[in-house]
Amino acid sequence: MIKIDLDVMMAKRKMSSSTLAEKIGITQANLSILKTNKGKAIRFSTLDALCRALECEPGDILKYEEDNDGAEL
Amino acid sequence: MRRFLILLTNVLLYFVLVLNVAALVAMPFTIDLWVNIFRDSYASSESYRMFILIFLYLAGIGTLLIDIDLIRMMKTLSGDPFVERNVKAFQRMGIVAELTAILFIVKCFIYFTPMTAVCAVVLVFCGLFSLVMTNVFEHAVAYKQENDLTI
Repeated sequence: MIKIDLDVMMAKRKMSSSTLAEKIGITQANLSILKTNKGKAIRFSTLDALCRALECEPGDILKYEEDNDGAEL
Repeated sequence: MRRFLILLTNVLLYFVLVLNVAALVAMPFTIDLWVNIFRDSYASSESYRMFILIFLYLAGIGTLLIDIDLIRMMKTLSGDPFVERNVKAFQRMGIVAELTAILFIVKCFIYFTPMTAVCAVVLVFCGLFSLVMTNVFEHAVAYKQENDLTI
């Protein structure tokens, strides 16, 4: 499954959750959904805003992890 | 206009609720009135009286359960109506309506009146409508959850 790992990049850029949420124009609640991997999908526009704010590539914040209990489609 | 319709529906639902509870509570005292209406068609025997009493109680409880679910559903309109609770409410109402319809169909075979047949048909369709709405709402809830979790 695809996982979002924002913590590393946020630590590198020394950016708090509230600042990042404000920079990319989403609520802190929605950023929390992203950070805890509870989201079902991410819009390209959000990914674009994240990459711009954190000055990184999509690959720096998106990770693929093998599913233990089988793939869910 | 929309607010007026919601208010009107709420008023009607509470009015039906009060009427329903009053009818159920007063049933032992008013049963002879209902039995006497059809005295010409059916002998007002004790067995007929007992049958009508049980029939009206069960039908009354069925409509009461439906009414309570509808009132609860109307309350969700102020927030988010596309929730799992409403799916379950639609399913419950559908099942209760179909069970009440069976009750009316059974009465048609024992003590037939044209109105009983009409009520049975109406209840069957209400039940079907509610069961179809269960599936529609189930999909709507899934779509909404997916949309809410797309950031």
